[in-house]
Amino acid sequence: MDLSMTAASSALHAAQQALEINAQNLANVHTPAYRPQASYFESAFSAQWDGDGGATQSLPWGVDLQPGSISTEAGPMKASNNPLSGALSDPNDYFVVQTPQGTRYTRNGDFHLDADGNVLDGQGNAVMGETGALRSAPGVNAQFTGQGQFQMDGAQPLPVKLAHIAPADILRQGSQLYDAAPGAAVGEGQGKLVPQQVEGSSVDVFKGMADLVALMRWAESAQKAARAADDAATTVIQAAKL
Amino acid sequence: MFRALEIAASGMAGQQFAMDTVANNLANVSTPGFKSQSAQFEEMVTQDSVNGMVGQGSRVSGSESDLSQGAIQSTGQPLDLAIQGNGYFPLVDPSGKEVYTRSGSFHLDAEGRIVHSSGLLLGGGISVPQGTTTLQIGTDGTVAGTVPGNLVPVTLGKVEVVGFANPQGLLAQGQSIFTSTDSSGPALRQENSALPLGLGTVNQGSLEGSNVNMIDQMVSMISTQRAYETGAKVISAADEMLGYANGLRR
Repeated sequence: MDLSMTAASSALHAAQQALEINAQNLANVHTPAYRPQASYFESAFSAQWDGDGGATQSLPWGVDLQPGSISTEAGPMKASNNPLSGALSDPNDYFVVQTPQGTRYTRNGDFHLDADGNVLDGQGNAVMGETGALRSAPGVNAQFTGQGQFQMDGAQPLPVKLAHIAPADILRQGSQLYDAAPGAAVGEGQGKLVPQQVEGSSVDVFKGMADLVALMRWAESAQKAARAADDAATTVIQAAKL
Repeated sequence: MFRALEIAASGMAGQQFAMDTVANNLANVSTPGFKSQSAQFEEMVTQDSVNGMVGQGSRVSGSESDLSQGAIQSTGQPLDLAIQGNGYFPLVDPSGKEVYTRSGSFHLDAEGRIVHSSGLLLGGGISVPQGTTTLQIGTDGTVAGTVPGNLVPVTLGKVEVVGFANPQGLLAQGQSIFTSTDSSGPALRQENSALPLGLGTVNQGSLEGSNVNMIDQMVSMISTQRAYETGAKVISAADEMLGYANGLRR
């Protein structure tokens, strides 16, 4: 079996997968509170068998791409005129929202009121306070205060519920919502809510474009390696004909 | 399946929508009562049995209005009204349905009714008699005028200001007119509410300017353009990579 050909084609395949992850990050440069995904490569191994069916050794035969961790860097904060917007100072703090699938976590703090005065996120999920879902009376203005609390005009301010989850325990759910991994420790928020700010995407366009160039070169070398392996095989076949 | 092309294309489609939004804002930089809008992006992922959650690009989840107060510009016209606060003027459309606006450019018609610049009547059925000399509108909307035969001004009616639980949910109809929806909730009036609604005051002789910030829009235009270009670069990279795969077989 020609290992060098397999290795080269696995490299080309991994480069394509890495490009998909990079494309996903670059397509979300303007998505508020988007956290990019890294990718990492593992060398893949194939086993050699001895005559009795037992594995004797493993030989590297290429690379395998794995989706990597979600970035722990917070995006830049941008001022917003929405009184119900807030950004989180601690990069591992999250707002808590109630979705039809259960409790989810988000850093996209661009909220609004519905016709009944409920505070909702962009997908229509209820935003939680320490004492239940945040709510205002219909038509009565509400905002996040400098103390990071939810304040409806003429009422007592209410603390907004924040959760703290380690980066390794975060599961991407789409629409900038995350779930905590089963068994993960979900603690109290450690930072504060900065009112009338929205967190931007933490995608680094410079890194994305540099990765794009590197991936293209890598795919090119993989193709060259495959051709070299092919050339070598041709030479062997030619030699056999002599 | 190689998805990089579709992912990049989804991002570019979103940037195109954002550019349309910026263009609309810039075109309305001097429209009275206009509220600046922005496209809202969200990430898309799907569950894949092999790789878990995989990216599908981004999409525009909607556009959000910046509901902050526009600058009050003095015009000196007695029937130019600006709202300082969160309220809207109710208008009556030809079918009798109530519609809403923040553009307070009104005039009198031949029958003495107060008409909006779009041609719709102001709600409340105020009638100004022929020959009325001065027309005064108080901050609470009370209309008073000096009518023939009376030395002291008489109260003619009240300009109403209404609010909404979710003004983001109002549906734009053009000509700065909005209709209420299930999402915005029905129009709310202060007299029916025990709690302060913050609907604001009426300022006679002035108009609320557009709250579009020219500089912000220019910056947004540049960053949208660049993000679009990034998408185009990813598409050409994906194309090149497919070329390498094709090139394996000479």
